[in-house]
Amino acid sequence: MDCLTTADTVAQSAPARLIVCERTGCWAIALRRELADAGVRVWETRTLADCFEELAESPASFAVWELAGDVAGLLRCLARQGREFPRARVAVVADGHLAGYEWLMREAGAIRFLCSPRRSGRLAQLALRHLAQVPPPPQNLTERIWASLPWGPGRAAGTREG
Amino acid sequence: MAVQRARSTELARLFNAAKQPIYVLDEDLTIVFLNRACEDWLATPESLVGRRCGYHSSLAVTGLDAVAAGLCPPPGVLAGNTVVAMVSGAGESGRSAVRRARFVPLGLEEECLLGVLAVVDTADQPPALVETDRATELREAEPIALHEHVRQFRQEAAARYRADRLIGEGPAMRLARRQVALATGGGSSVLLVGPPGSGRRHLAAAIHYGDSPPSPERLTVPTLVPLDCSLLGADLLEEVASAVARGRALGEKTAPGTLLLHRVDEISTDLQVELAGLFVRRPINWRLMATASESLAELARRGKFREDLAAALSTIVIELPPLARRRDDLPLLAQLFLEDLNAAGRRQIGGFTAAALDLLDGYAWPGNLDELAEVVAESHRRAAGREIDVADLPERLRLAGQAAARPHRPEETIVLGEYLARVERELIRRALARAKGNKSRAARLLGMTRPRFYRRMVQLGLE
Repeated sequence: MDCLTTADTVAQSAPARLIVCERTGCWAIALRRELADAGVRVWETRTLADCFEELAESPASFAVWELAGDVAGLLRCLARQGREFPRARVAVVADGHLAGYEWLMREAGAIRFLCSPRRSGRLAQLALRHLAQVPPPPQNLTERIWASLPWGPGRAAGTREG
Repeated sequence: MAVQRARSTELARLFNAAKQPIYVLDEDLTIVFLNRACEDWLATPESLVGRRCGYHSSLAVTGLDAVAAGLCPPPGVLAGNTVVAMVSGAGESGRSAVRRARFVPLGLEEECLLGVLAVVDTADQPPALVETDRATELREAEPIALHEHVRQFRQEAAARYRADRLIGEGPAMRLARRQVALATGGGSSVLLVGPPGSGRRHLAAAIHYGDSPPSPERLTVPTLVPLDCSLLGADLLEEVASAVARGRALGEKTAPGTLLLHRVDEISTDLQVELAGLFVRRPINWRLMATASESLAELARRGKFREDLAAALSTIVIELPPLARRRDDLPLLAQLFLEDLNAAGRRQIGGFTAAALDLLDGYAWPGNLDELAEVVAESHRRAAGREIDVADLPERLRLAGQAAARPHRPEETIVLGEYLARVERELIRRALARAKGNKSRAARLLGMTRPRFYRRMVQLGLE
């Protein structure tokens, strides 16, 4: 597309994603089940550093972070998210014995705090609402052509399947 | 009366004879009784009766206040559960002895807590047990850890959300600063009006933390409860609003705080009715703040928002202009975000080159301050030199700058055949990628026969 490598082919930040950062994968599984019909892909990371890399690609994403004991670390990450990715939204999930941290996490910027994957339906609804509200990255003519392909947004040969 | 007094004395005698340390808190977590064993364990020079042991966020709680804070029950007790947790007997001498305590909530009826009875073990917890993984995990939920996290967080938040970070020399920002000063320290409701991303939440936090800066004298700092009305379900919003209206604690027992209804202009009519019922007819001891894209009074005039609720939420209205209307402030704002990033990480970038600032100035900033913060963060990550230069800025900004700088030339043309051939070539490449190199499948994806597909590939120089 060398003829289009002007303003038309700007590499925009990727559309918002649903990113789950947890140790075990149980929240991601629950969310996949809830979102099976909505066609929303769940991106998984195991560390918050990886999650921030995903956010750098898609700054308006919806992230689900597991509070696994390092409260101070998660609070620092919430502050970083607010500083570097203010359009992203973060929900915090945790084991039941950490339920006391709900209002601290909310005050720090978490949009929701949940302790049971059985309530993942609410989390899924929240994620869907956020993803629906985020305006898609502005598309030029070329991007609109690729996005209109019947098999979804086009990816040039050699790029990874998302 | 005499009989009652005799029974009280008998009860106190009973508690004082017990070998376990026992203490009783009232509904405000003020210590109303300590038995003799408890006083012996804590070994304080004077009685702790009358001191609060709530979650604190002071810079450095010392003396008897620190001892009292170590006795604070975990949040689960305030929700009506009997809980076993650790309490700290850190005395003024500095010794720290952690013991297991059983907390029993008293008289929790119709969500009304009368007090808490705490019975403490007679022996300290062995350090080895406290240090096991499981114990460490459990300890996180205990009051000591929660205290510390709340204290640290609120200290940092108070430093982060300061009203003096409201940069801007235009009339709108000068007025906003005056109104923030007016709002800080009062209990009036505040409505922050501005486009998304214009810093409404930051300002709300600045007013909240400006109301109650952490200080050694204060044991408690009110909680800030932000609720995003456009994302959260009506049931949760109603539940929290109802708890606030009744003055109930939200998880932890704190002084009444601030309820921030973010994007309140997006709530449904039904929820407006519910909130009006909670906040309009009766006074509440929480402060209400809200953010909206448009004045609620204006929305009410157009019949899109309840007039009484709009009035209840709009005692002080602070308007924030979009970033595009305060371009003079842009260099300072960009530098402020950069300094935040420098302070938070190892990379130290000095500033922006003049060319980079010109480019920032030429951009439309539809996402306002949030977008500027993102752009500065991305540039900070990319920057190789000591200053952020044009090449470090996101590509969309650079190309928008180029497009703006390039004069419109109506005589500029494209060669349609060539243009379409390039589009077709890219489509074939993508179809092949999708079909994992299988030409028959790629041809089917494009609605072509295989021979025609192959012919086009040859014609377009792809084979």
